[in-house]
Amino acid sequence: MVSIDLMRREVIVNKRIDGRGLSCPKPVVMTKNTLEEMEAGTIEVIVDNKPAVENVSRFARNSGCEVKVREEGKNFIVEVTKRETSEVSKEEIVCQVEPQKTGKGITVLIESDTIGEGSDELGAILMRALFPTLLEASPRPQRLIFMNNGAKLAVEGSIYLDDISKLEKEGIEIFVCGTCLDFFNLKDKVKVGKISNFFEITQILVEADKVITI
Amino acid sequence: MRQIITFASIHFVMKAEKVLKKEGIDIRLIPTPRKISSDCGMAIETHYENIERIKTILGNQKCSMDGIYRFDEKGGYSEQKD
Repeated sequence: MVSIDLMRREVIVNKRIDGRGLSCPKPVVMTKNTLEEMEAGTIEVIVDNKPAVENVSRFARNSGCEVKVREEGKNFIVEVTKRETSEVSKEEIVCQVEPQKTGKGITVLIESDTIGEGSDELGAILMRALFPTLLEASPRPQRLIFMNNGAKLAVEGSIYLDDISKLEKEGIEIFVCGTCLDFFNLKDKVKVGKISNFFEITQILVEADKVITI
Repeated sequence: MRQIITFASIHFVMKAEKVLKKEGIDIRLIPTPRKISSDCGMAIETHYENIERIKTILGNQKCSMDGIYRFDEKGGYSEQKD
């Protein structure tokens, strides 16, 4: 009996392109030239970085080709299938370079005890909605920083304590600005998270893939 | 058992929260769960035993509720009809 896995492998690859170590637009240009030379069939483009995968895939899709991507060790293989109906794109090749991801995920910086401007009463209610919904968000933020009036959310008597503690229990790191607590005389009242200094906070901000400020 | 009360507008939610807290009823303001369709993004959560009292208080205050939902432990829910 032939296993399904074996059958799937039976794609005939007409040509392989090695785009490793090359920067955009080179892998795309090589893909373009190869696609132009052939009537129909499948080529494999080997590249070693995600932006190259994106750039080659985008070009191939714009040319009406089918695209499949798989990882092999540190490399990526973009499988491009040209059909008789595919038309190689004449558009200028665009190199979109994604910023290098640090893997530190999303940091939410909370600078106030209310959300937005207008009505503080409404802003406080919106803040109540923030923490439970953050838990359901995908991707989930990895870190929360509380600064200035935001630090008041993490201290004794705050109505947000339960919700913030829940986030902490779920593995989200909570940092509260020590200087801010000090300013408000609340340093010994902090009930959730870790009291942090500006060196650490700045480091978290620069490391994050994305910072969302509330 | 958790009970969730929805309202037609945020103004009713805010009024209800104020009035019910004043009466000493244990309630919590929460974002309306995704599963429930409501005109307002915030709702009030309370315990089953409080429902009748809440109905009376809010009725007197002309603070109209939109729906009352009963949630079980597993996240299943049903709307309670009068």
